[in-house]
Amino acid sequence: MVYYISFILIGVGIYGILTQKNLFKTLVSLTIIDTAINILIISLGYIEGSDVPIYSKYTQSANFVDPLPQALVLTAIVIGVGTLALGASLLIRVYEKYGTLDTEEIAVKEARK
Amino acid sequence: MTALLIAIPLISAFIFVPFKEKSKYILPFIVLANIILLFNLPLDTAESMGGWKAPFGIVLVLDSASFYTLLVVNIIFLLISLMPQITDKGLSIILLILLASTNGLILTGDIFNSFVFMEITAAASYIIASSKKNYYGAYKYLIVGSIAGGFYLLGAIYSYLGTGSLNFADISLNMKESFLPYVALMLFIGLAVESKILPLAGWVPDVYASGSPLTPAILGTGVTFTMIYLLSRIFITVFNGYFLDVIYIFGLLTLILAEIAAFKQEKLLKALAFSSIAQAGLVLSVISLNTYDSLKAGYFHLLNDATAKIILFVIAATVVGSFMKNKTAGISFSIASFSLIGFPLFAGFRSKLLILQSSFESGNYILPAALLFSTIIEAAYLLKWNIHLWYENNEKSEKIPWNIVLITLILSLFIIYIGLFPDTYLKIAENITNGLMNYKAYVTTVLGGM
Repeated sequence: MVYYISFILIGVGIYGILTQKNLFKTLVSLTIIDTAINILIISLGYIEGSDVPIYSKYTQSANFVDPLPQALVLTAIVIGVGTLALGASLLIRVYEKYGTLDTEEIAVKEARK
Repeated sequence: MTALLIAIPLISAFIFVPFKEKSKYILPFIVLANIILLFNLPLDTAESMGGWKAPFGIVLVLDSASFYTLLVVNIIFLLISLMPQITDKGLSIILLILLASTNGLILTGDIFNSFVFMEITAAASYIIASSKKNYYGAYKYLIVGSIAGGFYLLGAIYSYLGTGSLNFADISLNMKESFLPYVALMLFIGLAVESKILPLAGWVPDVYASGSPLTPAILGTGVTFTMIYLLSRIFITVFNGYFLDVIYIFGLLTLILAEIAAFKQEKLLKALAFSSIAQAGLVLSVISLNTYDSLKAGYFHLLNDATAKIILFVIAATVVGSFMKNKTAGISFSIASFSLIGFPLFAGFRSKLLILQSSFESGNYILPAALLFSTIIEAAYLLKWNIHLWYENNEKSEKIPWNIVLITLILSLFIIYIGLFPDTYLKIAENITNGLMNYKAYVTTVLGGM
């Protein structure tokens, strides 16, 4: 069930990147894709009826879910945040240079040069 | 010890943040220290990070293929750092981070670790692409590159599902057959953006033609070399040539379509950008024939192409107007373009001849036809640009700095030397090929004779 949610979200993100004219909305679509991939990775490591992968006196049977996808997702989230910050700073520069974030108006101003 | 190749540039990048102005003069010494360190490392070793043994932890593998690729990429960085005029303010720190991440990408033997290094390389490339106020082109590159990174991550996760391991050697031993098509497709989408396969290379003309000499000179040579090495490492060493038929078709399409597009451009830098897409497609289609001779020919051509492309891009972006006031730079430009076309006596002739020989030996007649067709188009537009730049009487030409003239002249003389005595480049290409084809030796190096 969770797989379907993440695949639908990836589709939504790619649709947004292909159709939106506002550059900021493409950045939002990119983060939707990132989040969908992270949800998918987390759900792949889930085992029915298992515990959190923390060893303590309450979970001595070592009946854990797979901890490796969770460790990978931490790294992937950090990389996604870095890319998002870089994209936002580039968009601020684009707005300073052209005075707009609409792709068609930017193309018109580029052609005038 | 091998980890120092990544650690030295990374630490120095963070140390030199307060001294933005001075750091461009310290950059050559750091790259030189890296090269000296590289020659003192033991070959054919796998160093496990943090003491975790091979299938569980991250390994840094230094065999003959990765050693010679590291040597080539570091020498490219050294040449770029010897021309401090083309580096904008503050970009030398980003160059150091890019050097650290490309070194890591070449050395690593772990698929998720290669994803992390690929994202660092991509982030540094976005910042370099935004020089000369080219923010919109850099933003397009960021969108395409991030989607590619997501697909590469999906490929890494699917290979973990299919094997239960993230190690390259372990994946090549234990991959389930049913997972192979998905993993190969995802990884190919992820790598195709950076190695410039055509349907996903729409960002290249916007980024390369921004007017900055640094961007195409480093992204079109060093980063492309790294990405093509990683692609051949994954599809030849790890998957034993599983997905290569598809890459062959895409490479041929890229070669023909990009040459036609380059012929129609009205700006020199855009024509050179499309030409570099076409050369990447040619190299990938030759590599995907997966024989010893074709791999050797492909890497030899890639080395020649990188040498010529540094000269062409740096001179095309710095010289405005005609070559009449910059005769030395004009001569280097002409030599590099003749080598790219493949005239006899130049280095490009040798590598194109080797490509023709190797493809005829493997019974392939489509690739030679495409190569000869693209060579004719290449000759047409490069000769047109040469005549245009030599005989146009433009008054607004400037003097270029002496060190750029000297470095490009030395490189162009080296192209002629390679055309007469090709042994140095052939030795590098042979060693890379030996490391890539010999996957049994790779597995025993990493997993220790299991």
